[in-house]
Amino acid sequence: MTTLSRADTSALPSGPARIASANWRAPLFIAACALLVRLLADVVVDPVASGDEAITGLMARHILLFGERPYFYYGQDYLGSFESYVTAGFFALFGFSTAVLRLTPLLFFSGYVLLNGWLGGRLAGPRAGVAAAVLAALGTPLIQYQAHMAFGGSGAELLFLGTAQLALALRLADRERRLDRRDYPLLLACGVVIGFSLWIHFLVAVYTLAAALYVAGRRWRRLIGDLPAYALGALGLPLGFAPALLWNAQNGWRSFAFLSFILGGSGSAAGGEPLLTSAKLAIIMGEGLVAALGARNDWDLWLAVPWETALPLLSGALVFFYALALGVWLASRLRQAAWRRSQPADLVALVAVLNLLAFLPLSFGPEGPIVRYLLPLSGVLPLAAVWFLEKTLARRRWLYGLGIGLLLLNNGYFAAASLTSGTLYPTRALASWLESAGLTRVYAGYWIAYPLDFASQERIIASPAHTRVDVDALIDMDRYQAYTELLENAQDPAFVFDRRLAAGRIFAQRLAGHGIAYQVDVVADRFLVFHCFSANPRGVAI
Amino acid sequence: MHLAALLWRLFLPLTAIFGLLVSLPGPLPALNAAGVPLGQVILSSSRFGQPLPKAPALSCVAPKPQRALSVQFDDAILLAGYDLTIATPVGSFAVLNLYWQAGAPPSADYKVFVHVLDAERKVIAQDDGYPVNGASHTLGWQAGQVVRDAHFIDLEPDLAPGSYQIEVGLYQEGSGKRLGLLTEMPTVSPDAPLLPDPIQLLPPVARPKWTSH
Repeated sequence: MTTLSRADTSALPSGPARIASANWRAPLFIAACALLVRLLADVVVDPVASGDEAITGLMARHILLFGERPYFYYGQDYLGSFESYVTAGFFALFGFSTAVLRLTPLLFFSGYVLLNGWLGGRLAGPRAGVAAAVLAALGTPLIQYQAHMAFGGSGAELLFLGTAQLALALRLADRERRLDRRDYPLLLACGVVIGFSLWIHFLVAVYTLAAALYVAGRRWRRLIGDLPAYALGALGLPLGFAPALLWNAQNGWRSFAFLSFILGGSGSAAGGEPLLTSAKLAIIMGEGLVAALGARNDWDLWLAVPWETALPLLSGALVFFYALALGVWLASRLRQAAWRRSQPADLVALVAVLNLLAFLPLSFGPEGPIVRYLLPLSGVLPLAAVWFLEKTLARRRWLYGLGIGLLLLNNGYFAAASLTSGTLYPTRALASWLESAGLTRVYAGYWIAYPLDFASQERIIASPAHTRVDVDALIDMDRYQAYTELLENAQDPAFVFDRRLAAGRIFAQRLAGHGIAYQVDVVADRFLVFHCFSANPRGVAI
Repeated sequence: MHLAALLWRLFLPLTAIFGLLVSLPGPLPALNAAGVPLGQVILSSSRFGQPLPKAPALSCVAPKPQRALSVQFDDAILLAGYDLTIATPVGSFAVLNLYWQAGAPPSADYKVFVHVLDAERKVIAQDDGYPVNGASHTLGWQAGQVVRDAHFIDLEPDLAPGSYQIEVGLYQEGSGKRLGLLTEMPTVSPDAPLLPDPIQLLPPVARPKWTSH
């Protein structure tokens, strides 16, 4: 066996390359641990948590069993379907289950943790790399929720692909010479990754723009000489974006119509929105930032859970911590002599700032979904935190450790809460009750119907196709026409409502108004199941 | 391994595999009028999961009540039991299924009343109506027939959480005369037996506000 003597080590890569190699080991180990913990958690939180997650699983089933080839998420032709194809492969290997459904986000999430370790190392040294990987592995509640559930085109994929773009930008910007043919593979890879990411989720543009600005800031003196390489990178774009291009070319460029719709000011229920209203600002600061920074759980906000559930002192401290980090970054940028030249930390700040700015032209009003669209901002927090701690407390190990520890405590608190709170609906209990009653065709709200389809492996066909069966839904949630048609042809469909919502009560009143007899059961203490109607209830508006 | 090489090796094959996947089966998914992709959808029930049962209408068979009773009223009407979700938050509604059985065809058309009573025996919530949402009048009941009769009881948000008793009974709409109670049961008002299980009113719960992507 050949071994290297001390003298031979001079032959090993030195400087940044050596550090980079060392930077991989600890993050790899941490990523592996995070993967194992999440695997366990994904088995515990069963069945599927939401309609969104169920649709990803149903798409994967249809890809595998029925030969469907969806290009986009059902009903949302701007979210790429890649996740469902990967999941279909996992289903083929391991069978259909909620835990297997979550393997794909787990895979991308591990990549995100790994890249955070690498980027942290590049930003502020090996210790920062390890700390960033740890903070990414136990991310903010927003990261934990969005990145660990299968959401078909968001969450984990967005974080991984976006962070990959940041890493590529760093590599590219580091070239201390004109870009030439040696860099062409990297440039082409950049183009492919960007195109592929844009197909998966348009929000990745926040990362793309940050990466582009960073590279431009670093290499603007070499811009002319680099142009051929950039042109090659541009060629990679359509390659990665090919699925979206193929579909859109034959479907009236509908994905772009959607983007134009939300940018055009008509996406809000209240009509056109000015760029910045006080209500919009209030929701960005009060709900968006609070959840994105990790002080509140996104889901708790939507469920209107009282503030007492957040850790009171830590929540306030978090906002202060990141505000201070931003201030330190600004001060350091202004102080540097070569302030025109981008620094790696700029990448992180650019993502955060661009993500916030992206809300200004959007038409989402105060009633629109906001928190999940701050995922890129939340995703770069581990890097922001370690950069700030290294910058201010590098030699005070105890304080440095305390900072990391408090961030982990905050995130761990929410992680434990999400694991113990379990799933949104006890869909399995509902499925088995319906099957025992011989009810296999069901109208229900979006958050009940599709999880029911997945939990029953489509022995029960449920859909939110009935007019306003989902009384609280903002948009039409009927996502899969095949189910709709099956229900329209069904002899004796049942209607299922969340017992806490008014819709079930309204439905009962409407049935009474039409003189329709029915039976109603409370199932699993959460559902109202109407069935056995004396006349067809489909015409009954809710 | 350098990052560029890693990404290069990871993404290009993935893209190639995806391209192959989507191009293999041929045509693009068909779309319905609303633009939802149908793929290669064949609309038959056996396409999804296991073959489905042939609509045995099992759900219409009245199941056994969660709480069996034998409370006899005049005119051969028996209250055979009930289903009640005991714990219910205020600001929502409770669902009570009563199981009526006629010993013989009743001689009159009766309404059913359900009262929720506080500690001072005052009615704080109620539901009155002909059985089964008005779709099953007692005059049409056959001997031996079991009628499952659902009642929705609205619980105002300002009610105090706690334990409340429920009384039920039958009466004639015109005269308001209640049907006599023959079985000895605890009562608060005449001919209105108290159900053995009180209902537990819980504090109000937050109303979920759902959205998708």
